[in-house]
Amino acid sequence: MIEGYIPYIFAISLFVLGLGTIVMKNNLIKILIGLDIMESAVHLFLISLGYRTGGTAPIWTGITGEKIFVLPIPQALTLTAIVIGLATLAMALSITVQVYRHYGTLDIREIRRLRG
Amino acid sequence: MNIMEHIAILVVITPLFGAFSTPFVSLAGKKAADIWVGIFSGLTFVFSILLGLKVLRSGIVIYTLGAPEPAIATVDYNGLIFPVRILLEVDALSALLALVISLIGFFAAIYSWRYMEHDTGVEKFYTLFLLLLTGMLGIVLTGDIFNMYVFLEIMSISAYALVAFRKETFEAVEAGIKYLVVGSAASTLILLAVAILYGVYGSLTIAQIAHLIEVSPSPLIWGALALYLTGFILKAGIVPLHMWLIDAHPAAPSSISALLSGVVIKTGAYAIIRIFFTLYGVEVMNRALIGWIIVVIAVITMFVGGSLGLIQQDLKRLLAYSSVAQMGYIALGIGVALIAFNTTAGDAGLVGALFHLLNHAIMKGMLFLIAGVILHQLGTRNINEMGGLIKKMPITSACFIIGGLAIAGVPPFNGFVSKLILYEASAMISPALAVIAIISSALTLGMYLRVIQTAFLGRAPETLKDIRDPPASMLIPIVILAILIVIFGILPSLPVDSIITPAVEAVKNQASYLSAVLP
Repeated sequence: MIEGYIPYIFAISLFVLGLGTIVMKNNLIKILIGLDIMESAVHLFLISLGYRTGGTAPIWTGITGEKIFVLPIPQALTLTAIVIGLATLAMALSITVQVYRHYGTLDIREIRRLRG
Repeated sequence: MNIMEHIAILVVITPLFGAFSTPFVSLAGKKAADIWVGIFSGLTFVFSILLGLKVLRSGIVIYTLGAPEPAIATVDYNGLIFPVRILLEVDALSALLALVISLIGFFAAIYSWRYMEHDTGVEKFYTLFLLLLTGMLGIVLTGDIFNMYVFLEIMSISAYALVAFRKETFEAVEAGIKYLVVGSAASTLILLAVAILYGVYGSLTIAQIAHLIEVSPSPLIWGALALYLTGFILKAGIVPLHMWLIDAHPAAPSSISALLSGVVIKTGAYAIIRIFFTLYGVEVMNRALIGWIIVVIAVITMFVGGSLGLIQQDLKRLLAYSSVAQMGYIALGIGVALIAFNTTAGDAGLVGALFHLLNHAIMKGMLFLIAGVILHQLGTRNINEMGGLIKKMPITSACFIIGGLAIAGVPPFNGFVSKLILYEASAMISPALAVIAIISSALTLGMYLRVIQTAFLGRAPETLKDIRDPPASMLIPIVILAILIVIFGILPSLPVDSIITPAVEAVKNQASYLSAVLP
């Protein structure tokens, strides 16, 4: 029984790990890694939702007989989410380069000139 | 092709097409790009009006993507009828938000013509600008939770880029990275909520999930609700997740600040309303508990925004704090509506929240545009360096005074009416709540009186000799918004009867939202 829940438990642990990284680390790059871990955890969660034991890839080839397919919708959702995550990460890294140019550091304790 | 049949999708794809065609058009010069963006944001506004008229005339509009018949959302699979495709579902609430978004978007586009004249990379600015519009319009029109997430990310990523647009200043870069980190974390929480709801109910259509939640509420949906709320409270800039807003909104170019403060945070409020009243439905949840939580958060938001705004020296930062405070009023209305759903107080709360949402979009959009004018003409945002502006730039100053008094809730402007409705609604729940709301409104008044006193009245410093009103393309959007403020203040029944009341009815009537999709 517990085997079926392992992917979910793993995904949630990864999610918490990523969230912890964002909250506790001071280096901007590490924070972005944490953000990416968090996103990957959700992708893993989505993929696990559609998985069926012994199922094949959901590609229709006209074969006859009984076949178990894994559910294709979570895969489509995950693909979309991966692309979005990539865009966010690219944006984040390019702003990080600018941050380094202005501040000469990536320590978020020193990137605090805005106050009030 | 019949335009009215495809009007819902046209509202979304018009700015999307405009966004990616602008870089090509800009090869013919900046002037061409200016006009191109003006045309496309104007078209979006026209389509939003047409969509609103269609919704008012014939009820909820369904547009199913990829279906042989756009108005039919479901498929019949051996007698089992369910929706499978992505669909747009537009009720009066969505139409109201789409109208507000495209109105402010159109004015901000016109304003950007001259405001961005000293910046490089304007074609990229316009692309991001139209993508921001696309994202917001998509969020409010869609009837699918994953689609909502996708549009949320389109909106958020272009907002991050626009906040960091002036990358040669440290302010924009720092604000951009802060906004990006917290914003993406919030988006991930929202995606997890979507995944949980999909895992439990096997559907992504709002109407279908709402129907299934009604039939068989699973304990897991409360986890999803908590994730959803955290995500959207951050996107709406409500305390305790408001800190990004204070940095991000002032750092963006002013036409973008107007959009961010005017409408982007309102999409968060829209999503919260949609989730509470449509996706979950008030019958399933313990609405007194959740309502009081929202009310408490709202009260804290009003005080934090109002009191910290009082001590700001930077005009745009002050306006950002004021946005936080006003989001508190909108949240207060939502909370009251949850506690007293379907009573006089609850209805008044919803009317107040939605009317204040509309008013705040107009007022704060205009105030940020004026802050941009001051920055453009004077080169400073520091209130102490300004003075006597009313003699130098009379029209702009008059508009700022109108907007400042309106947002503080002084009659006869629109902010007074919506705040009065909110006071009445909260007084019916608990008189103490109304007193708190009035006190925090006094904080806002103090905040704006200080700006009006220091910057607009008084004596002009020697440095501000050759200051005058901005060029017409910047002034006209401001003046039109100011006229709207006065009209909505003198004749509040005009907007309330024509667009707010149908939206409130749409929020209250979950059954019709469901039955429009499910047969």
